[in-house]
Amino acid sequence: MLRPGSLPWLLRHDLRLTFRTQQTGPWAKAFTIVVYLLFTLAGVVTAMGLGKIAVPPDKIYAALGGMALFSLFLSFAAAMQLMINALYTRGDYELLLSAPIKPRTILPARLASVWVAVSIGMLAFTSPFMNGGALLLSARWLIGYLTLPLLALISLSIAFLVLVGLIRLLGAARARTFAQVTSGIIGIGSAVIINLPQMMGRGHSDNRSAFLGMTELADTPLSAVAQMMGMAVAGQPLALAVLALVAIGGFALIISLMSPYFLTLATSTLTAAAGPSRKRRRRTGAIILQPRGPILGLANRELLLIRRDPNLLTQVMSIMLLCLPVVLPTMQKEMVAGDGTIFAIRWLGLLPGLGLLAGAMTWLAVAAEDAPALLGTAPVRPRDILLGQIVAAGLPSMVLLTMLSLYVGITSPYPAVMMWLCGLLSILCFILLDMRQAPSNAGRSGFQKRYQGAYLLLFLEMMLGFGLFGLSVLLIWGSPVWTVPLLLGLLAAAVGLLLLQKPMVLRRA
Amino acid sequence: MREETALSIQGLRKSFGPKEAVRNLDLTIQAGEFYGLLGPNGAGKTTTLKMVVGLLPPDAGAVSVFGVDARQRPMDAKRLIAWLPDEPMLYDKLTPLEYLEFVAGLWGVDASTAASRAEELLRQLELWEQRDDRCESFSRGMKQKAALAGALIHDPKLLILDEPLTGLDAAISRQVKDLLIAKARSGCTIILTTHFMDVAERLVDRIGIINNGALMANGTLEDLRQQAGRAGGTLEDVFLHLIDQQRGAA
Repeated sequence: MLRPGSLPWLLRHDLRLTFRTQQTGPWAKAFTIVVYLLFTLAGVVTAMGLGKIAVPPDKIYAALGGMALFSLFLSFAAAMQLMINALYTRGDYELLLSAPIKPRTILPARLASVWVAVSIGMLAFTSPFMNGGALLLSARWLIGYLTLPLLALISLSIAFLVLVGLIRLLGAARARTFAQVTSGIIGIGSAVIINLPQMMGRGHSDNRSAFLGMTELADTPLSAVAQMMGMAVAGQPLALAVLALVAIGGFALIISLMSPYFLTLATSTLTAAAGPSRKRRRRTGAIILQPRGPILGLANRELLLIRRDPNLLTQVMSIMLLCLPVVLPTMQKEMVAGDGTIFAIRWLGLLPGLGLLAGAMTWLAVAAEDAPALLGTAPVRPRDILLGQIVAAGLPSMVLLTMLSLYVGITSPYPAVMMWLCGLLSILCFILLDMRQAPSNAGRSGFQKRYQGAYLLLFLEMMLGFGLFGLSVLLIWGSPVWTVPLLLGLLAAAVGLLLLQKPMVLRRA
Repeated sequence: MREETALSIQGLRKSFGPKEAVRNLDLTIQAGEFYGLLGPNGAGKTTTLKMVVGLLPPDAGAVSVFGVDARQRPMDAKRLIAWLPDEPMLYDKLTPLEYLEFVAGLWGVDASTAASRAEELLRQLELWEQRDDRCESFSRGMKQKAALAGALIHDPKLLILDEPLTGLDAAISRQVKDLLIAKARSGCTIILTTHFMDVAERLVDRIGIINNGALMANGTLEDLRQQAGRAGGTLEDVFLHLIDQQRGAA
C-alpha cells in the first residue's frame, strides 16, 4: 500500500494519467499485438541480415554508438513532447499545489512518469529487434533493456534542462511552441540524417554498405561519445557503469537543483496553459459584420482559430514532417512521364504532406469543436455542417496543391493535371481517415495528444502516404488510358464516403 | 398574444440504456410566457430541453415549436429557438464580435441586422468595451454574457436557458436577469432551468417541476402552493415538499 502524497504514490498517479489513452478497446489491443508480432518477425529477419555483415572490430563500437546516439535523439524528442503534455496540459497544478504535499515530490514523480513512458515506448519498438539479435546472434543484445532506459533518462534530463532554459529565456507560452517545433525537428531529423546520403542518391547502394557507412562517425568529433556509448551498449562493464552514473547521477542532480524552483515553473506553465490575455486594437465607429452562412462561416472560423493559436500551428507543421521520409529520397529523382515530358518526382512527395495537413485540420475542425451544442442547435442541415468542416479542413491543402500544380504545369502539363487529381485524392483520403479515427470529444487542447495511443491512426496515415505516393508515380509514369477514369472513380468514391459520414458534432450532442 | 402555443410536448420519452431519463412527458407553454423548469439534479430537465432544441433524438413523442413539428421539420423549428447551455459555448480565440458574426451566419441573419443587434446586445450586456478582445481573457461571467448575446443575435421566438445564472457574480447575474425580463416583455417566450428558487420565484410566470423524468407539478406559484398544501410558502418550501411527497409515495 503506497502512502498517499509520497513520491511512489504520485508516480503511480502520473503513470495512470500518462497511459490512460483513448484507444484501449479490444481492437486496439489486437492491433497492437499484431503489430508487435510483425515487428518481431522483422527483428528476426534483421538479425539474420546483421549476422552476415562482418563489421571490422575497430568500427563496432562506433557503429553501436551511432545507434545509441540515434536512440538518444529520438528519446529526446519523445521526452520533450511528453513533458510538455505533463507540464502544460494536464491542468492539475492547482489541485496538487493546493494539496498538503511537498512540491518537491511533484517534480520527480512527474519526470519519472515521463521517463517510464519514453522507456516503454522505446523498448516497445526495439525489443523485437533485441530479442531477434539475442536469439540468433548473441545474448548481449539483451543489454539494450538496460541501456535504452538509461539513454532515455539522459534524454529526459537534457530535455528538461532545455525546457526550463527556454521558459526562462522566452517565457512559458513561447517556450512550449519552440520546444514542440524543436523536438519535432530533432525527432524526424535524426531519422532522416542517418539515411540522408542514401536518400540523396550519393550513399551506399545496399544495406551492408549503409550499415558500415555509419561507422564513419568514428572519424568525427562525436567519435569519443559515440565510442563510449557503443562500448556501453556492447556491455563493456566500465562504460556501462559510466553511462548509468551519468544517467542516474545527472537526473538526481537536476532534480535536487530544480525542485526548489518547481513552484515558479508550475505557475508559469499554468498561466501559459490558460492562454494569453491578448487584446486587439480597439476599432472605432460603426461595426461591420459579414455573416457568411454555415459552410463558409465554418471554414473562416477554423482558419481564424488556427491562425491565432501558434501552438496548434506548430503541431500541424510537425505532423507534416512525417512526409519527409517520402520527400527526401525523391529530391534528386526525375522520370519521364507518359506524355514524354521530364518530371521531378519530388513534387509527388509533397502529396502525402498535403494530405497530412488536411488530416490534421480535419482533427481540429471535427473532433476539437469547442461549441458542439451551438452547431447542433443551429438551423443548418447536418450535411452542410459536414461540408463546412470538410471545406475548412481541405481548403489550405487545396490552395497549396493548386498553386504547386499550376507551377509544375508550366513545364509538364499532363503530370501537373495528374498530380492535382492525385493530390485531391490524397486530401480526401486523409480527411476521411481522420474523420473516422479522431475521437469525438477531445477538444482543441487534446490535439497535441493526437497520436498518443492512436497507433492505428499513425500506422494508417504512414501507409496511406506511401500508398498514394506510389500510386501517383505509377500513374504518371505509365499513364495508361484508364488512369483518368480510375482516378475519377476513386475521387467519386472518396467524396461519396465523405458525404456518408455523420458530422461528429452531432454524434457528441 | 397568449393564445398561441410556443412549445407543445406530448408523450416525450428518452432512455439511456436501462435508465429512463424522460418518461411520457406532456407540457404546453404559451407564447410570451416566462416558464421555469425546476427539478433536482438528474431529474431530466436538460435531457428534455436537449430534445426540444434538437440535440438529442427522442425515443418517442412529439415536439412542436410555434406549430412547427420539431421532429419532422427540425430546421424550421431551430430557426425559432435559441439554446444557452450551462457551460458557455464559445471559441476562446475569437472576439465577441467575431463570435456573433459566426452565429449570425449560422442563423442566416443579414449583415446590417446582425451588426445593429450585436451592438445593442453588447452594449446592453456591458461587453461593448471588450468587443475586440479575445474571449480567452474573459471571466466566466463575461463568457456567459457573450454566449447569451450569441443566443439572442437572431432574435429567437423561444429562448431556452439551462442554468444561465450558475457561477455568475451579483452584478452580472443582475444584467442577465434584466435582459431576460426585457426579452420576456418584448414577447419572447423563455424557458429557464435553475436551482435558484428565489430567482425562479421572482422571474417566471409559470413553473414546472420535473422529477425522475416525469412532470409532477405545473402551474403558477399559487397553483403549486395549493397542490403542496403550503399556502403562503416560498417556492423553495413548495418545491422541497413536493419532491419529498413524491419520494414518500415511491
